[in-house]
Amino acid sequence: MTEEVEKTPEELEEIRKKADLQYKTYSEIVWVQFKKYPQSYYSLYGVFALFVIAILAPVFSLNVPFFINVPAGVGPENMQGMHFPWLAALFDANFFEGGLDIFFNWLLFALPGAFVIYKVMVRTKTFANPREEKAFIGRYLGWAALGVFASFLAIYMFDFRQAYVDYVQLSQLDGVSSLFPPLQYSYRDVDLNAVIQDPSWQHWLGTDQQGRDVFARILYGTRISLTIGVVAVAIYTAIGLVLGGLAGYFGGRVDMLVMRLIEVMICFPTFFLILTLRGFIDDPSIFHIMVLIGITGWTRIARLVRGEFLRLKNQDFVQAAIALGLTKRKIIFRHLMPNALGPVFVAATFGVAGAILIEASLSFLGLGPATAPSWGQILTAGRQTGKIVLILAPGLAIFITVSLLNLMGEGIRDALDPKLRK
Amino acid sequence: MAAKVKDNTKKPLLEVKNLKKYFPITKGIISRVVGQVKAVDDISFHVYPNETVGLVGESGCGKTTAGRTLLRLLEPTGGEAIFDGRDVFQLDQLELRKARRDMQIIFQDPYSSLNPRMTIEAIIGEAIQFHGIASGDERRKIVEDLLVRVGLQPSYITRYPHEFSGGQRQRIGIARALALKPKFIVCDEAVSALDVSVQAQVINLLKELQEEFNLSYLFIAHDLSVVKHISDRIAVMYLGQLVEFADCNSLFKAPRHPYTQSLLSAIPHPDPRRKKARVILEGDVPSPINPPSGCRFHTRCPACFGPCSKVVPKTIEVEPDHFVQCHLYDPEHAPKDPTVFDRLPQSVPEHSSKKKPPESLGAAAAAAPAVVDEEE
Ligand SMILES: Nc1ncnc2c1ncn2[C@@H]1O[C@H](COP(=O)(O)OP(=O)(O)O)[C@@H](O)[C@H]1O
Ligand code: SF4
Ligand SMILES: [Mg+2]
Repeated sequence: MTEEVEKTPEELEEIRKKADLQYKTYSEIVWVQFKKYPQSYYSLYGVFALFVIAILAPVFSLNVPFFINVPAGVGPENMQGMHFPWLAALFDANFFEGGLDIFFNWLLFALPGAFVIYKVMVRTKTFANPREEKAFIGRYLGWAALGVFASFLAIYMFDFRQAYVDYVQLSQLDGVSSLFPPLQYSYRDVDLNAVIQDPSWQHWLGTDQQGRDVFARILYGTRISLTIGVVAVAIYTAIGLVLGGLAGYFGGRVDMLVMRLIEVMICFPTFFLILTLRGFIDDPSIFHIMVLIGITGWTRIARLVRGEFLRLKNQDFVQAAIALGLTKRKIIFRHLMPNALGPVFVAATFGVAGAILIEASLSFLGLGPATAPSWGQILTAGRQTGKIVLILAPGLAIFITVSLLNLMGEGIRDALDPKLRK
Repeated sequence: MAAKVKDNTKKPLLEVKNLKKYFPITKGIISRVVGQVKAVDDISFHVYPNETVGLVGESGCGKTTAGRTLLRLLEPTGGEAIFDGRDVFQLDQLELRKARRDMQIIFQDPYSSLNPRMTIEAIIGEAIQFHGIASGDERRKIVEDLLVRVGLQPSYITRYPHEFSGGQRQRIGIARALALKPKFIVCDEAVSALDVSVQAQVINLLKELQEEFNLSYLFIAHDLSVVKHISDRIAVMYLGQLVEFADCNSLFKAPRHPYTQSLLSAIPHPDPRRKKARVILEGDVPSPINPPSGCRFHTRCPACFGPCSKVVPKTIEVEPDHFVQCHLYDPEHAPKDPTVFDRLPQSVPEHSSKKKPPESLGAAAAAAPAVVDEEE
């Protein structure tokens, strides 16, 4: 009686042909599928590259040398000898105001560190099967993310500050040897002797009205755009998951309440809503902008999650979970959520592109974060100079980033769609 | 067919009394109730320990609703379900969670019944851990044993549902239902979605498991021929009500209710020489929102007579443990003219015993006016 379901030779052949789809986890199937669309596959690398660029920004551009050797008798007394000021500057709260840059600077060390630790740990372990290894990687990633973030918080709380030293000037003194990043500018360096310059070897994309290097600003602007995109979307996805999940699972009055709230919200165009709320904030930081986008953007996610929950709630495996006596919490987090996340993930990917555009628009209108080198702001500054490069460069940066994210989103959407799977 | 010795003096494991489940039909944003779908309307039956009760009826007649309501996957509109001496409908959430260990369900659709994001070990073992029966390696061992028991490889525990065929998935669903060692399982069209060859395997598996774990089944199907092979007793359902409830043998040998007879006549007989009148049920199933007055079957019944459209038929015990809900067998309403019985797809003992050969000719001649008279 324990024999398996019999298969015809044709069926077996069919199975063998599809062998690369068999015995894979859901995410592996999605990945195989995703790789079939070259444009989305390469856009994934593009987005990855953007993050790498954002993290590596100070390696390319900073007005602090990796090392500087000041011989005796040259320059101030306290600066004599060999120094490595670049490393210290990365965590200097005076130098990089705000936690955002320090966070990215920390990633510069934390990510390679986490990778090395992983390699070492894998050496000491043996896995019974590839799936166990995957599970281990998943767990490791979770802990690593937590560790990186916790250590960042510690660094940020420590509030390391040092006195400002003009290393560029110091390095020009006789007998001083130093190694700077290729561009000796930080995004904040005002140089009134070099305003509105054309691109040159010193300033690859020229300078703006205050003599700030536009290339450096765009480089660091990647951090702003990506962070605003990811965090704002994370905020509204979280809100959407909770409200949509509640509405979908409990239905009835809760559902009605949430749906009415959504209807009221979508009466107003999102951007208009953001502008209105922006009016209440005097001097917004990028944190404010992220929250603004976050609290206005959740309706789409909430509707998606609600729909998914309504659909899943009546599926037999959820009924089985109820029949097994599991608690509501288990049912929501083990059975409903994981199955509702696919479309949410797709919406979030597109959402990141949308949030980047919203921030750029706000900054372009002069309503964004005042001091941050955001691309929208660089665009406005460029417009005031009347130089075409200064307009094109940030515009292109926005265009490329948004396109890459959208291409990637399309790829994920198609990969998750079982109807397109073949 | 398993000819189990049934001891009727035994206490039933499950006793369903007057079970009702209405779905409200709502309209507008304030959800005003404008009507009700009477999906299950007053059904009563009982299931003995280690017994299989088949529940058959056309699709949409309320079988799934009945099965799910008595497991409280749906909240009942009325009635009682006494399981192991306690009314399931009266239990609070905590008691219910404990009681659920004893009553499980197997679903029709093998594709939607397994969570696509969980491994087989998690699917089968989740409840084992949740109810504190076992965890870790111990749990894995239990899951592996269950897989072997339902005819699958123990190494499947790390796989995901999409790697399996429909029949294999159904076995996994059975293993999940068995995980808590229940006493009673509702099999809701558990084999209807499978190929015929696989159907037989799964039914055999269910029979074996019944012996081994001392299970009781409520075996739901829309097809009498499927139920026949596994059931000890069969309940026939029509439009939310039970129209006939009898021992499997006596139901197949001498079905009384016109609806049961029609269903039976639709099953092709294995012996082609024995030609049987095949009665195809005419007309659509009436809506459970507005069920027909009197007997709900009267719009399609070939034997419909006088009181049928006016009076709701009572449940009559025509033989010990053979219940029928039809006026034909109710002494109070029984037709004075015995020819009404001739319109049935199949003759019934009541009629043939009364009928004597010489009289039958005369009765046939007098049939036409008599029927008109009856129908008014
Ligand atoms: N959640 C529901 N809301 C409203 N009507 C329902 C619901 N579930 C089932 N019904 C109705 O109840 C009747 C019985 O359905 P069901 O129990 O699924 O029948 P069966 O399992 O016998 O095919 C059908 O008319 C169906 O439309
Ligand atoms: S009560 Fe009348 S209509 Fe209903 S099944 Fe019996 S004979 Fe037919
Ligand atoms: Mg059904």
